[in-house]
Amino acid sequence: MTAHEGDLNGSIRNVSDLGPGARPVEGDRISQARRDPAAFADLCQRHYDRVFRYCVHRLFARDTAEDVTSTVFLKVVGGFDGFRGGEQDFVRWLWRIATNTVNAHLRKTARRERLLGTLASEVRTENTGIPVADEAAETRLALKRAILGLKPRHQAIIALRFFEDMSVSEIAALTGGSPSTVRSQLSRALARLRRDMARSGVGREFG
Amino acid sequence: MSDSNHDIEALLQDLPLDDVPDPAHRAGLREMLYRARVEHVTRNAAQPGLAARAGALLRRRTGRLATALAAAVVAALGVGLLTRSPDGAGVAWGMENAIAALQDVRTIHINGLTKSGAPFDCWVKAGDDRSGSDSLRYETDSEVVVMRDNVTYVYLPKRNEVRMMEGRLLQGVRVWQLALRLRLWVGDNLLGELMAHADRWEVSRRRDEQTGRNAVFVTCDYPRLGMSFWFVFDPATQLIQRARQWHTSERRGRPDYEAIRIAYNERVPDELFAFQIPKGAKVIDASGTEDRRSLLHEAERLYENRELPSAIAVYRQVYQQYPEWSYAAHALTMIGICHRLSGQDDKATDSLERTVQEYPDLRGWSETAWFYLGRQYAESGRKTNAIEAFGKCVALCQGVREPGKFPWKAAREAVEKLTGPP
Repeated sequence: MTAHEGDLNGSIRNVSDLGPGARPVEGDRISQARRDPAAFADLCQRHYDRVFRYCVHRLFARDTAEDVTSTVFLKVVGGFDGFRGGEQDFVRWLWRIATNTVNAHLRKTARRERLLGTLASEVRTENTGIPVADEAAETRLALKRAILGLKPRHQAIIALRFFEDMSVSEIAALTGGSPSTVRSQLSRALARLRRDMARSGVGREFG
Repeated sequence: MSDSNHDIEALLQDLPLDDVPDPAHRAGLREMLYRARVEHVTRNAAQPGLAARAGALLRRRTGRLATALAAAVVAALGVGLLTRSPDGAGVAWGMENAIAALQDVRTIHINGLTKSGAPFDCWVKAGDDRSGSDSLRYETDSEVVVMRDNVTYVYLPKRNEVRMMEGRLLQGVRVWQLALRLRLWVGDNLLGELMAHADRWEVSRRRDEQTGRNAVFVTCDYPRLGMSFWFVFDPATQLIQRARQWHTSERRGRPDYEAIRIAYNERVPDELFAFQIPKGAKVIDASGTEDRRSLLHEAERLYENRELPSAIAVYRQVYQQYPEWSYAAHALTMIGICHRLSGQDDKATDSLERTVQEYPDLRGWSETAWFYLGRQYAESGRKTNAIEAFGKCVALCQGVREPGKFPWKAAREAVEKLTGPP
């Protein structure tokens, strides 16, 4: 985790971690945020990077991830008065909102199709518009396609485990299941990915 | 878990993701959230208000760009205001103020120098509705560019030639660079993008030796584009006073363009943006952008579907019909790749050799052709040629591509492999 990325557990390590435009907040940030809209905006900004990254990791498209990140925080605005708890609870609440928002986004078939379409063009442009006709790029495309093809819940577990580096217990706490359920869902998701990758016929042997 | 699951896990862990947050979006969202929260608290969010409007705005691409732009512009231009506050508390700046300051600029006149030391003048006049309908004139001894009413004219006096293009969003690398160098001076949108995408964005406040007054100095660097900039802002007006633009990263060498005087809101007559085709001038219609892009997209679609003979035919049309377009180099490269994928190695090599012959150093385009040509040579046992081609690729990648990505990384590894111990 980088210095400015924020901490999943919500502990502030350095005032400079707050990022541009943010101000240090004394005492309980949640209480401050309830009273002061600027402190509320700072609190959200503090967690912006992590939420945005998670959205990218789920959607593989920056523009869409920015849209969904905006939606997540606007839901926080709407629900903050009803939220009870400290900053660690806030972080868990935020993750749940983010996960539900991304899942809802992905449940719309048209949106998923659009993401798949974006991926198809993306793999062929590494920054310059020039197609990359190499095996590694094709493999990455196939993997992203396979991930987007998973059920949203399974996809969330894959993203939390492999892109957010969360433990099974942390995922269970966020998703509201037991660790054994998460483990079994993770195993099923990996098996499905393996099968889809084998079917795609690119890269290494997965069958 | 099984071995194959471990393979998948390794792939997942190595999956590169473009997940670096955009500071402009972050800042724009923060402002929206602040305002939404203010409204929520004061009105208790009984009915859809700013929060909903903010959401709708941020969900729209244009809205996102606007807020991102606003945030970036505030960050860039609001430095003076931010630093006025002695203790950092109660900072006296607002996005609206910065936007309002920008909106007050109706005309810009720039005197400057090109890399060769030739003087240039550039005038910009904002359209009445601020909807991007600005008029622009850029003039040197060797070139006059006029953009007005959705048409761009480029007049080359020495050739007595006029190139006419429909639209302001000019396509193609060469024309894009022209547009970029012009749009830089137009101002706000490029400034926002510059900040959002800079690899390094450094701000310092010190005495400006030229004017003897305090000023804000901003430098920014774009290694992937091979570009860098230097700006001097006036803290009092928040506007750019002087600027330099390099077509190299890290501001190496003489600047390609240097704005030595920038005047805002001078009277600029409309006649300046009138363009009449000079008598006897050859007129080249460089429009048809949509047609050629459609053709290219068709070729790309065929390639994606692995309909390689058809893809080759359409890529060939792109190359033959638009040889001066930078995508022509791409089309030729793709013909080579299609032949390669079809198992026609000789034809692949021929196409790629032709690409590098015709476009030996078209930055951002030629390096891919050199890479694939190197691979063709390497696979056919032409080791010396392969090393040379991969070396060319590596050299061209400097300042344009990222060292850890294709094709730079692959070419570097290929050179190491070919020149290393057997």
